[in-house]
Amino acid sequence: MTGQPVPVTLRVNGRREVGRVEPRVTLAEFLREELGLTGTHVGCEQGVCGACTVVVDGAAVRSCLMFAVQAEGCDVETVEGLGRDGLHPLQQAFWDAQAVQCGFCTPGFLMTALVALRERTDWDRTALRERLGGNLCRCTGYEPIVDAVLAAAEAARNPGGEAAR
Amino acid sequence: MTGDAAAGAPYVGRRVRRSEDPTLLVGRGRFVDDVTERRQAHVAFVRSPIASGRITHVDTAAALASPEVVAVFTAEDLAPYCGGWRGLLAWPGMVAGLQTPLAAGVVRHVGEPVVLVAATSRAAAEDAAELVVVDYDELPPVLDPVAALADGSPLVHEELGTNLCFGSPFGSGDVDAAFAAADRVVEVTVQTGRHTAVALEMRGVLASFDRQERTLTVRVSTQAPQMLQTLYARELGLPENSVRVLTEHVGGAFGMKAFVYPDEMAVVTAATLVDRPLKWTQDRYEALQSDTQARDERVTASLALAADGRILGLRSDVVSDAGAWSMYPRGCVTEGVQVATIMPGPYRVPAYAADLRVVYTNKTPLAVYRAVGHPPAILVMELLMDEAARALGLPADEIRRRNLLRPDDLPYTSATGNVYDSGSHLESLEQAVVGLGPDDLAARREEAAGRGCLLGVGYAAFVELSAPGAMFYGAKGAPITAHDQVEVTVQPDGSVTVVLGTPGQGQGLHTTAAQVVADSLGVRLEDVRVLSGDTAVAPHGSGVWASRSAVVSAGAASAAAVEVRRRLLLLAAHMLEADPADLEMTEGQVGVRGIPSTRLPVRDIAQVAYWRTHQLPPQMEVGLGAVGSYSGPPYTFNNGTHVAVVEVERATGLVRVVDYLVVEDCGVLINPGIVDGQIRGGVTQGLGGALLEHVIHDEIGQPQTSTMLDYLVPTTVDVPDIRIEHIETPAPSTSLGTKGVGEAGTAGAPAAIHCAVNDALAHGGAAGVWRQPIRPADVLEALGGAATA
Amino acid sequence: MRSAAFDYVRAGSVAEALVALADDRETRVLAGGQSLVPMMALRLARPEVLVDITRCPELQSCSLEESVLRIGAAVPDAVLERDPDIRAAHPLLVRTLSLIAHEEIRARGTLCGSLAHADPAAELPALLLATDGEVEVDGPGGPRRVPAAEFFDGPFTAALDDGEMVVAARLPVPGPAVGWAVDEIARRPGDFALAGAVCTVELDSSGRCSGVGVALFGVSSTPVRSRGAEEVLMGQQVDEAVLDAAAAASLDGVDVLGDEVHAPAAYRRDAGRALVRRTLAAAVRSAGGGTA
Ligand SMILES: Cc1cc2nc3c(=O)[nH]c(=O)nc-3n(C[C@H](O)[C@H](O)[C@H](O)COP(=O)(O)OP(=O)(O)OC[C@H]3O[C@@H](n4cnc5c(N)ncnc54)[C@H](O)[C@@H]3O)c2cc1C
Ligand code: FES
Ligand code: FES
Repeated sequence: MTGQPVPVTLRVNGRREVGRVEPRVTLAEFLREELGLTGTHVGCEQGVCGACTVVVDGAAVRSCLMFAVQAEGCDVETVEGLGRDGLHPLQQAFWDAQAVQCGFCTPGFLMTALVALRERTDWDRTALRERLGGNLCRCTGYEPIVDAVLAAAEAARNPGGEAAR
Repeated sequence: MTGDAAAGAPYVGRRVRRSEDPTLLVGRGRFVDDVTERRQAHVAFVRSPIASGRITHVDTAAALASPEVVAVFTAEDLAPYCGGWRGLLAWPGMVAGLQTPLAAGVVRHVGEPVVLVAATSRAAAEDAAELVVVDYDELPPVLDPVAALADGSPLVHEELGTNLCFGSPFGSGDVDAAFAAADRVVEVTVQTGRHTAVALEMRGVLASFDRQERTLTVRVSTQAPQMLQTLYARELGLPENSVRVLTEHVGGAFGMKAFVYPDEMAVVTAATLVDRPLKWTQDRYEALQSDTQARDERVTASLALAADGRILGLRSDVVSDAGAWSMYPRGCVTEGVQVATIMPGPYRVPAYAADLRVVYTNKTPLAVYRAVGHPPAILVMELLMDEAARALGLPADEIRRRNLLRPDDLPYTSATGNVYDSGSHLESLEQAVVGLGPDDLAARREEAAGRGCLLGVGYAAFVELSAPGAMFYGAKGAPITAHDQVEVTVQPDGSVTVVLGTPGQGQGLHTTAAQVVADSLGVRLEDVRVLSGDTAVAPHGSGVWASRSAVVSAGAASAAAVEVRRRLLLLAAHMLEADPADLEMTEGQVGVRGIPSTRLPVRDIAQVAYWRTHQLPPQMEVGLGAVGSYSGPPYTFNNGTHVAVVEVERATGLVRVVDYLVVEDCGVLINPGIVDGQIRGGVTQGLGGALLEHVIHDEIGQPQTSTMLDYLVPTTVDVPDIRIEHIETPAPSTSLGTKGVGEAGTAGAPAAIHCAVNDALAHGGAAGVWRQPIRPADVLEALGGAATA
Repeated sequence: MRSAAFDYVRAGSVAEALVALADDRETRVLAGGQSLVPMMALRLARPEVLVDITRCPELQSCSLEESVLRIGAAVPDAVLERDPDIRAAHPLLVRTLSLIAHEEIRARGTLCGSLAHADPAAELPALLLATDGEVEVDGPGGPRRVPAAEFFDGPFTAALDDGEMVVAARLPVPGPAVGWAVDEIARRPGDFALAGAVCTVELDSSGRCSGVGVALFGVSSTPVRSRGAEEVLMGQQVDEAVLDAAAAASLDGVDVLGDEVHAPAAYRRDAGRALVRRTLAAAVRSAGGGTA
């Protein structure tokens, strides 16, 4: 029969995970249903909203548009991997800036911002708005999210800062 | 969690960080789909692919034969257990059809649920749903609400004999005389586009039924858990104490999650019939076809003016496209009613006559969405003001200045009977004019012209009805009323537990309640923990809607805290052998005013209240908890003025909002950060309505916007930074002086942006645009085709 | 919204992919999945076998051969955008890529996937067409090259036979004397275009147009060359009037899409012409031409 489960092995937040999934299971579904990592949210399943954004081999990608089998051997980072000892500087910056309302979009924004800050920390406001343009938030009007990421970038530029670690 | 103010300073008024956030930030939120029950089966629906038709045949045999299928239900299967409902409120003459969890015999819009399939996974349920055969006799759909009122139109509900759901005049004063006496009359005809809420978390239900206990537990993404508890019990014939509704995190709702949805009711009913928990998580395709929609109004309105710009009278004709059903229990007329009754807004309008018709069509039901009815009402009024200004040669701010309510007009009763007890109607405009900085406007216009753009400025002065009382729904027969209850308990160790009757949907209610309680009890914010979301243990509440929480929930929290404080002081007085009136509470301690040596930690008092009750004076109750209630006044109006500055690109018709200023007066601010968040988010949704968002149907009623690639919501790049200024006129009628604010941004933004676009077009020598959303195509058409770049 | 069931083949080489694609069942190439997976979620596409080509080493590289940039079918857009050699060699490509969706989509979406997908509103097919690129195809009938002008058969239809796949795209690199521009109109940045244009213009020493390529996207049911605009420009001394005339003629012979959700046909015409005017002017400017 078509679509029988197949094995998949990947690293998630530094941990080796082994699963058997139907090929049609998306990475988002695998993380949520198989691994119980429900911080990765699903808001559209069409790649449009960004709520499902995770980092795969260093790149922020849509986990709704990737089948889990495609992540074979990949290194996946999810929101649960951020700041395992206390809040990550980005999370702290979101908290400080009141960048969260319902919080459904938040994990996706954090993962997008994480990669953006690894790329560079000298974002200006306009460029950062564009960089975050693929993530939708229905609650905040975006401004505090932009503020938060800029604050984290600023912190990372300072010697003691580690927002983009 | 503390803000940076000095120790002991009140928390109310401070921008403290939200207590809700850390959990959400680390990805440990518990939205419905995040929770898994053992053996849960997953539901998928077969939904109507056509706008109107009779179901002639349903065959579920092939689906049932699939080994992964747990159960399949049709309308007939569920009918004995849930008979359905009519979304009726006691509006004179209103009619509504009988709605059932699954469409019975007739389908009335694309996306209406017809068959429920439960299987071991969502994918398997979708596979099986494809195997269900449903045959339809297609009927001609009713799509145009005006044509729907003509004799001989097909009917959405045969049994009702009409497509008119509700019709009524509103207003007062001698309008004919006003128009007869007018020096000028201006008129606009405006159509606002059908929207939908697009809460980022889609709807979802996880329902389980214990057949032995006959208890039903429903985890659901909703704004009104107690309302659902009552209605689930009523529909399924269960006692209310056997129905438990759980609502932890809710990923946005905006009015859309305040209903009994047929698909959710089908899942809940089915769960009582199968031996497994059932989970249904909506997908976005379903959301864009089945979530309530809003704002689909056609309005013609005219304004009678004296030569000096004074308003003499207003007329409006409002047609609201209700879609196929009056959603239960709020119904579908609130939007139309508010379009008609809010229209006079913050202006002195001595005479007004509105005519409202709410009409059924074969579209997804229209219901309440953030700022219900305000956006079209304010849009129409502000467009009229601008037309009047142009006709009379007055600046846009001046015509408003001449008509806005002044302090000595207050309290003011509007032509539709709304009482504005306080506010800063004119003051907010003046502050907005200053904030805009009109001096450099000419230079900005010129600079924009150099880039091929027309610059426009738009004002929207508004009032927003918030925290409505029982007359809105409760008095009209729905289980929705004005009160909230909050339970406050000082625990034996002095820490404080607050249980809210109404859970939040992202607005930070836990934080604001904690601020109010901490101030009242003189404890540190970090010693207060707020819980909500389980109807089995929470006190009663009416849910989150109509910008009521900062007034009603916070009011109830305050009432409970005041009572606990009273008892705490009584006990402390006994322990200190002092008069309660001489005591003061600060920083978790009670002492006699002026005598530092008498400080008793709240913890020590609480110990007596719980564990050393033998030391309690005989007349005192054990424990330190109280449930507080608050209902508030009939309503309270916030007010403000928005100013939008837009650039319209001549060559392409693209509109960009380049500056946005909000002057808002929502009374006392509990947490300015949270208030500003509500305003920003609200403006963003209003911007979406003005420029982007539109549920579009083709000529046979097929929705053309069923993914988020086609239903466009604003992104980071579409929204400018929003400047917010506050005027704080405390509400005389509410216990904390607060007024609602959750919808104010959405109320004003469509008007401000639209007026700005029309101002830009006027500067380009073009007439305005009279529909929303304003598409680039509409702008180009108004400009008479593309000018070369 | 869940895909119908399918079997998954992770091809380790083009040869393996071609064997897998020869299956009797309905097969599809899976590249970045940024167009295919959304369609599968809606069950608008329901392949029975999905052949993942992203792990084929032969498809993972790019090379510059005699002013042709050859891009392997497994190279994501974001990798192209970041590659310093490509940024230097083909800035028009880099600029075009930046108009596609958002970074997170481009992190997986591929250029060849976009060509194979043949979305009439997509940017890259128009770039290939404007610059007379080619597509390298392999399949049961052996490898072949298809010129851009013959590749886009219809909306979402590329000239690929059963069992065939794209292995690479060949993009001619505009020479240093060639001016270029690409732009589009979208409701929101990152959205598919309501109308878009890619232009290249070459001027001779006297300022006459000695070469021109104009392709439109989002305007017709496939990407189209604007022969009208090209004919007006070719051989002309470029000035404002010529640009106006080129823009006016730009839709001649182009079958413009009918009224659609986001734009009526009339808008596409008006905006399309405005865009041609704007991009041509910019291309002429970047070719060193004097006019605005
Ligand atoms: C939210 C969102 C916004 C987007 N916006 C844009 C946009 O503005 N502009 C734009 O151009 N695109 C846009 N896209 C689409 C994106 O660019 C896609 O990545 C691209 O169109 C297809 O590339 P892919 O590698 O993802 O192909 P896939 O999705 O893997 O495949 C697409 C189709 O091409 C076939 N295919 C792929 N590779 C090959 C091959 N080598 N040989 C034969 N057939 C092949 C597949 O079988 C499938 O039929 C958007 C996508 C999303 C999700
Ligand atoms: S769920 Fe993946 S982008 Fe929306
Ligand atoms: S906080 Fe609710 S969607 Fe962003």
